[in-house]
Amino acid sequence: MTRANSLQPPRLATWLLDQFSPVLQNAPLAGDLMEAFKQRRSSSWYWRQVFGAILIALPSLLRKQWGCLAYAVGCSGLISPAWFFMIPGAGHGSALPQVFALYAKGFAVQWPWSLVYQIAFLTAFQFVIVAVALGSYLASRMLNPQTLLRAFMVVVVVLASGNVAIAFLSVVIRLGPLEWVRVSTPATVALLLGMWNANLGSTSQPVST
Amino acid sequence: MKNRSHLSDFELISMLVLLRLGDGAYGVPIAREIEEQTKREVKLGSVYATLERLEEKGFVVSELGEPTPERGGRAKRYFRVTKQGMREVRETRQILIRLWQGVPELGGGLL
Repeated sequence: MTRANSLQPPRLATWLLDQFSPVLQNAPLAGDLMEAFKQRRSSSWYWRQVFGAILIALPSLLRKQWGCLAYAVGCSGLISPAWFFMIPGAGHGSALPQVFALYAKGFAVQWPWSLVYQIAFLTAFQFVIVAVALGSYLASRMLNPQTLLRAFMVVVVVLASGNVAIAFLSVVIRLGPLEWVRVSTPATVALLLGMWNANLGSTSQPVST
Repeated sequence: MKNRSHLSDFELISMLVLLRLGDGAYGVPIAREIEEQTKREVKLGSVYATLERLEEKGFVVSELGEPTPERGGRAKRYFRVTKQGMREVRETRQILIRLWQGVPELGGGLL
């Protein structure tokens, strides 16, 4: 790692914070974290601060943006029934055998590629529904293509990382009857962040260095 | 009897730190001073949440500075205590002194 790189905070953490900064309306916080990091703070410190900032702001943020939250929960709530309609549990027949056959191709490959395949399949499925929901939400707004692309990129990244995180968590936590959470939660978060990003991201972009 | 909320411990600490720092108090030095005085790591997010709450109560005001490249193009947000905030800190101090004086185990007074 070069000296110049070591003075830069983790990019992924900064990106994550930037997704929230427009809606938190608190770009100075992101600037403070960057400044403090350059004063010899560690990457783990930076990550803790970013997660802390988001978690602390989340309750008031959700209160202010309850309309977006309700829309995201409603739309992503459709994902679980649709998913289990196509990919039912063991011993149940799929309503869409062709789709199930495509999904079942992942069983034929060895771990960890089977897991990668399943996560990619689920992510693609969620993306289709989230993209339709996001597109419908943004249809009446005049947004530039860059903002739209950014919003959809946010959706893809959040869906993929959320599914990976849940896949690892499900090794230690048995979801049981809450299996639908595994399918819907990343979609709710992705749609919410996509909407916030498209709504407000273009209004308070940080100045690039 | 007045019907109003009192300052929480972290709100009082933040107000006192703002007063100690004077002009030019923004997130980084505020958090650093709190850490030095309390010997605990603080989350900048909680510092901002507290200061924003104090601003809503009228005890603190803030203004944005100029964006700088060193901070990724983000501006600093400067905070200072208002006259109302000063009154609140003084009243809280009086309350704490009275409470301390009623506790013999603590020597009945301030350190």
